[in-house]
Amino acid sequence: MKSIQIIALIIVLIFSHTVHSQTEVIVRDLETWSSVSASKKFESNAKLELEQSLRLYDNTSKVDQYFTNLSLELPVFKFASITGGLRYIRDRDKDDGEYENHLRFNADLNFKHEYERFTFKYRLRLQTKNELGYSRDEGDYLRNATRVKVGVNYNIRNWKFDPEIAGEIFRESGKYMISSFNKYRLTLSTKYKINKLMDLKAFYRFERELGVSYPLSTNIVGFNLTFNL
Amino acid sequence: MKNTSIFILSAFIALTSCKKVITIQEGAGLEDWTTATHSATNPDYTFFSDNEVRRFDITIDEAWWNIMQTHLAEYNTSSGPNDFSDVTPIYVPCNLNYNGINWYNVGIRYKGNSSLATNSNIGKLPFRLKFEEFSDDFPEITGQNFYGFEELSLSNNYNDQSFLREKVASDLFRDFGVPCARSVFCEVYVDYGEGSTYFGLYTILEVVFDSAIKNEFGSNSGNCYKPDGDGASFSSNTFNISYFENKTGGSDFSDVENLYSALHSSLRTSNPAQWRTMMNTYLNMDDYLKYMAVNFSIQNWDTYGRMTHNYYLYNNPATNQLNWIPWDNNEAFDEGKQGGALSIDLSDATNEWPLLSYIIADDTYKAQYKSHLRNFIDNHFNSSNMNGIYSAYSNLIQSSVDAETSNYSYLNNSSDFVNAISELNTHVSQRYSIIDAYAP
Repeated sequence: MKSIQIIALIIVLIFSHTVHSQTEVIVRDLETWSSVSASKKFESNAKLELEQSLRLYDNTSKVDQYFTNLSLELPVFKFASITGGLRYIRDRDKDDGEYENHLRFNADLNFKHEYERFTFKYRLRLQTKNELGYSRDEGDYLRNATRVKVGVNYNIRNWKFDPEIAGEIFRESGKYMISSFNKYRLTLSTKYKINKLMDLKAFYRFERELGVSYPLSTNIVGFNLTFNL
Repeated sequence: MKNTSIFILSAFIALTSCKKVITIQEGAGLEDWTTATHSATNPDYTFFSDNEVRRFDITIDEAWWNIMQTHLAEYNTSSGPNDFSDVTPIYVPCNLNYNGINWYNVGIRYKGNSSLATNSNIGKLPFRLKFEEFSDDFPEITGQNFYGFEELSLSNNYNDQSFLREKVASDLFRDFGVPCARSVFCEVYVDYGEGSTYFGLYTILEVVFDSAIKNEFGSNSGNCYKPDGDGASFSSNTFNISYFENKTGGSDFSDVENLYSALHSSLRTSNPAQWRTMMNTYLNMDDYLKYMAVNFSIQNWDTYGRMTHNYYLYNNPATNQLNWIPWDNNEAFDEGKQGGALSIDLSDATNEWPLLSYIIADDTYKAQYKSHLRNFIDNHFNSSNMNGIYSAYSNLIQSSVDAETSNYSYLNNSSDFVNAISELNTHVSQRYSIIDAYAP
């Protein structure tokens, strides 16, 4: 018995020198994004929207961020509009669990046209984001993103859940960064009109990082309840 | 049937959507990675050889190189004519090749103060390497180090036409028992998209809060401060704990505050013996007096006494004493600027530098200081010993010095190096006479 223990000890000692340390990388996750919005459309067709949103990650078990978003969409032509948005984000640091405060601005150029039962949608979004409370001397610079989104909606006869699919690609840039495409999204969604006051939108979204050794793929299930004022 | 369908659907969603974590072995897919070279537990100090000149080949993507230069320009803009910038240069990824072995996505940044701010026309600038800096982006380099060293400092021998000051000063401190980072000469080549360019002869130093304190004290878990700025003079007029950056991350500054309180205690005049006991409780005084002896012998002026930087304080957990660690010694062996080096009797150390003026005013400490001076010049800092060291090192680096080009050199002509070595020999001779007279 004693000799077995000695042999086991020798084996452990030998292999302890060749065992490499490891690091764990998350390559897939399931998130849920839920939000409630209040939307007001004016006679000019301008639309003002206030949204409160909560995003959960880590198999939908932890708060990733929650934010308040205010946006105003102005029609330019029948087929085009512009949108400006402001978002205050409470973003939870995944390492230490502390919440950080971020502010994001976005400007969108939207196009839309119809062909038979299809509605094609295009969006160019320019956004910039900054963490509040930190200066450039502390290494905090604006992080910009250019986003291009293309989507198509199909109007099914006598069916309340018209499907929409969309693809979007992100190009991140900023001071002291090399500009690069850093992620893309594919979304399948539908919107259901509960009544004159409320719409419920549900979607499934697949998001994947680009340009990294071990890209994270995220499956996102989302719901949005909108009150049309 | 309905329940079965729900179960199958749930299982499908769970398998294809839920969180998935993969385990990556360190160095996965990296051809040159070995435990001894890339993830050694203990530093291999044979790298810091006194008899060899090392060679580093650094490759930086052109786009990242341009970002480094843009940031450097901002660094220089943010610092005033007689001030140092608060901006910390940014890290960018690079590849390091040493002896035919590659280190991957190593973080490289500029470092320094005056050597960065005043030499925009000379490309030979100081660098810092951090081997695991980009492990978040490249998980396969998690745990990457260089023969056990997590960081290395590449000093550009700024303002030193002999190239020896940084290395010889650190050798002398350590030989006399003062904790100090080890150093080695190194030819540095950088390829930033225009082919490999010789950036000149550098002196590589280990980083104090990485390996040096671990090597000297057996651990690096104590507070390791890098004081910088007016608040770090320990003067009652300017002392401010916020000027003591803790490089090992602790937030309890009571060790420094205790030292300050002890230093300024009324016991200093009312009961000097008790004051010395209290001082030694918070600062390793014997090592500090040795440091003083070496520092003022070699006229290392760009530090405490003239400037509030270029030193570390490490709280050794084994003794709970702070230990003085000199840093950035490239301006030593010289009369100096900013009022010049302090005299050997420290009579010109004002009370704005109480860790000198109060110490030298105490007869017991003064006697110990003089005893260390005597020991230092008898056994280390004398012409017989130093001329041999200067000769050996200058022969060792001669070809590396000759290979420097005007855009990457602080030499104006080929005789500058020879003259600088000659000045070092003259310097030790003169200093010996002065110290011999003061501490007979």
